[in-house]
Amino acid sequence: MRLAKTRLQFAGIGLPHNLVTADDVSRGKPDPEPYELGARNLGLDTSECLVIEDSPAGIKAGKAAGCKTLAVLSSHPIDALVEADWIVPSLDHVFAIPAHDGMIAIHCNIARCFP
Amino acid sequence: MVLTYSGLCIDSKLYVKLPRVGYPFFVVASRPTIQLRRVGTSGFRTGGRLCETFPSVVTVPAAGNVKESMGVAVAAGTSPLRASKNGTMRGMVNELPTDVTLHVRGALFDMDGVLVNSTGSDERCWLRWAQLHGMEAVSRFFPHTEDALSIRFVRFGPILIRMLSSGGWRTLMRRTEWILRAARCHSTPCSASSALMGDCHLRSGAFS
Repeated sequence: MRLAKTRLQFAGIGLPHNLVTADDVSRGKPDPEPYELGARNLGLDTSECLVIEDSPAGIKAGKAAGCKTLAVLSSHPIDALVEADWIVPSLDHVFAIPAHDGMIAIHCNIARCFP
Repeated sequence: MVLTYSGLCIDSKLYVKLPRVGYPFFVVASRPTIQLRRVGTSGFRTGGRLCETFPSVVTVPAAGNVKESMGVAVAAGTSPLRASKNGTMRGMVNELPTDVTLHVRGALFDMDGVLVNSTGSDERCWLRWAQLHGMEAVSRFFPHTEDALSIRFVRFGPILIRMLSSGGWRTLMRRTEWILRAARCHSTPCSASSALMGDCHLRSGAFS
């Protein structure tokens, strides 16, 4: 928890309202527990959430939790991430716009999709 | 079934073996459209010639794997095909990357590698920690393992074992302090992460 907060803080990223760290779960990724807990903290069903990940274990966790998954190619080659529903080169290609009814429209430029 | 992709055309006369999956693969030529015509249950007919049997939808070299050769683009090396549980191969739906809009209620961000570049920090910590305890460690990038960055302790000696067996967990846990210190110096935001987090704000969470 301390590490996560330190990293976010020193990267200049505001602390999110909800933070799930290794301290909060008994089984880490690729177990779905972290993302299930995350969705629960938001009061949402996992199927209503998009998981944004860079690692195969994280994508597995997201899929296992029943979330939609978007991979960014920051640390792994594309072949390692083909389990994701969508792949983008980086977050530079992702935009979030508040939509009606409490939804978020997440727009991905040059995304690769999988069936 | 006819699948049409714009911008590329599969030429059945030229194909290369795909080393990882062992199926014949296609050469993709830069013609206006691809037509993959499914033949029976297990083949595609392109340009009048039956291709080798292919259990499912196909193709798609990642951009980096496509190389130009005499005006055609050759799909070589590994391609993002994957095997599903029933043994069929799956490829990307879209040959060319396209824009997609997803509607969700929540966004769950992974932290390390998505929001914060912290791989370098982790690596340095572990290497320093190993050094401190008289161990030789190497870090290597293993692209096909679960975790891309693996630190290998090549010369454990009896040190680690002794530490673990003599209740040395406290010493082991000191690495957290190292990581915290390094995190202050070396954590940088991944591009656009801050803005995106802001846009998603109320309904977001980060997961380390």
